[in-house]
Amino acid sequence: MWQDVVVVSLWGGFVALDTTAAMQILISRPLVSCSVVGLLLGSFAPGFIIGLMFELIYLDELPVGGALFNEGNLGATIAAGLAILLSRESGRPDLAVPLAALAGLLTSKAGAHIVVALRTRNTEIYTRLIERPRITSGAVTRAHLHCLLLMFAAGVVLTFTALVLFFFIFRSLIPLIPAGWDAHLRTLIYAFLGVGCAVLLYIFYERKRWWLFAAGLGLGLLVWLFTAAGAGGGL
Amino acid sequence: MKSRLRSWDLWNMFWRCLLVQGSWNHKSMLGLGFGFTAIPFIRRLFKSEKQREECLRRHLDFFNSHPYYASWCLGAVAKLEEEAKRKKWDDSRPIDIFKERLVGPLGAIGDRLFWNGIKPAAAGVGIALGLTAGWIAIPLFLLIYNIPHLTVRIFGLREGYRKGFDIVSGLSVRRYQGWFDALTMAGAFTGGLCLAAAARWCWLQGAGRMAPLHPDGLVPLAVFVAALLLTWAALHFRIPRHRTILGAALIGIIISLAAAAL
Repeated sequence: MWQDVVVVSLWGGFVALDTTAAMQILISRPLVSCSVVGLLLGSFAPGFIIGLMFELIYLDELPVGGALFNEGNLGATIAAGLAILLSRESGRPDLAVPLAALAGLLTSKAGAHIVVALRTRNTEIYTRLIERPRITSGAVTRAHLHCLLLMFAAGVVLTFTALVLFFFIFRSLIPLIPAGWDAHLRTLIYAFLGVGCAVLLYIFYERKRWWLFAAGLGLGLLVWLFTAAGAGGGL
Repeated sequence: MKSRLRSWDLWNMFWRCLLVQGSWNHKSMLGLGFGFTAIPFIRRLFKSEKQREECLRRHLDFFNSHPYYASWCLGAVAKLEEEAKRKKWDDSRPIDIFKERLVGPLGAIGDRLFWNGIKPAAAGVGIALGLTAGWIAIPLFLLIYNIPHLTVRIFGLREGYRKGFDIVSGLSVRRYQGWFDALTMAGAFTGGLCLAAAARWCWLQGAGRMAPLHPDGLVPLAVFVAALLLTWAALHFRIPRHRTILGAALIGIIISLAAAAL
C-alpha cells in the first residue's frame, strides 16, 4: 500500500505543476490524471469514472490571475487513488468510490488555500531577488525554479497527507456502515454526474442557439438507440 | 537586415515559455517568469554583464497575460530589443510601454479562447466519448486541446519576433470574435451530446441491467435528472458549488431510499 501511496503522491506533484505553473497541457485535468492513477494502481475503471465526474464538476473553475479556485485537479487525483486503495482493502467498491469522491471534494477546497500560500511565498522570493544589488541570469533561473520546485513539493505533500489521512479514517469507518447502504451511497456517482452536466450546460447554453444544443442531444440519443453495448469504463 | 537571434534561441525561449507561470506572484504576476523566458535573447544580444543586468531588471517588472499568449509578447519584445540595440535607441521606454499595453488584450483573448472556449468544449467531447467509448476519450481530449494550444505558443513567438510593434494590429478581441462564436456553438452542441451520453450511462447502470420499469432500475436516471435540475437552479442563484454538491448527494440518497421502500 505504501508504495502505491508514494507513486500517486509523486504523480500529484506533476498534477500540481501542470495545473497552473508548468506547461498546462491538461494532463492535470481529472479526466487524464485520474485515469493515469488508475493505470498506475492497476485498476483503470474506478479512476476513469471519478475522472469523468470531477472533470464535469470543476469545468468552470478558471485558474485566471490571482483568482482563488478549488484545486479540483489534485482533489480528483486523490479521490481516484483513495477509491482504488479503499476498494482493494474493503472489497466494497460501491461504497469506496462515493466516499473517495467526498474526500476529493474536501481536499480540493483545502488545496485552494495552499495555492494562495505558495503565491505569497513566490512574492517573497521575487522581492528578495529584485532587492539584490546585482541580478544575474543564474539568479533569475534559480528563483524561478525554486518556485516551481515548491509547487511540485506542495502537490506531493498534499496528495500524500490526504491519501493517508482519509485512507485510515475510511478504513475504520467502512465496517460501521451496513452493507445494505452501499447501493444507496452508489447513487452519489449519478448525482455528481448530474451536477457536472448542469455546469457544462450552464457554460454553453444560450437561448438563441438552443437548436445546436438540441442537435447534440438528438445525435446523442440516436447513438443511445443504436448502441446496445454497456458504457466504456463502467464500474 | 540580418537577424541576430538564432533558431536555437527561439526554441530555447519556447520551452522556457512553457514554464512562464511557474513563479506567479502578487507583486509582478508573470514578471519573474517573463524575465526567465527572456534570458536566451538577453544573453545573445548583450555581451557586457552591465547591459545584461539592466535589460533583465526591466523585464522582471510587472507583466501579466494568458500564459499561452505570453509567447507573442516575448517574441515581439526580443525583436524590439534587437532593433533598439542595432539602431542605438536612447530610451527603452517604448518597449516597456508596449509590454504594458499588451497585458489587457493578451489576457482577454487567451482567457476567452482557451479557458472559456476550447477547454470546456474539448472536455465535453472527452466526457461524451468517455461515457460511450471508454479510454479513447483521453488521447482525443488531449489532442483536441493541445493542437491549438501549442500552435498558439509557437506561432505567437515567431509572429511576435517577425512583426515587433506591428503585432498589436492582430491582437484585438474584435478580430477573434468569430472564433469565440464558433467555440460557443461547438460547446452548445457538445453540451447536448454530453447530456445524452450521461443520461444513457445512468440508464445502463440501472434499468439497462434489470427490468426497465423496476423502481430500483430507474434510480440512477432519476438521481441524475434531479441533480441536474438542482444544480441548474443553484448556478442561477449563485449558490456555492460545495453546497450544491451536498444537496445533490442528499437528493440521491433520498430517491434511492424511496425506491427501496416501494
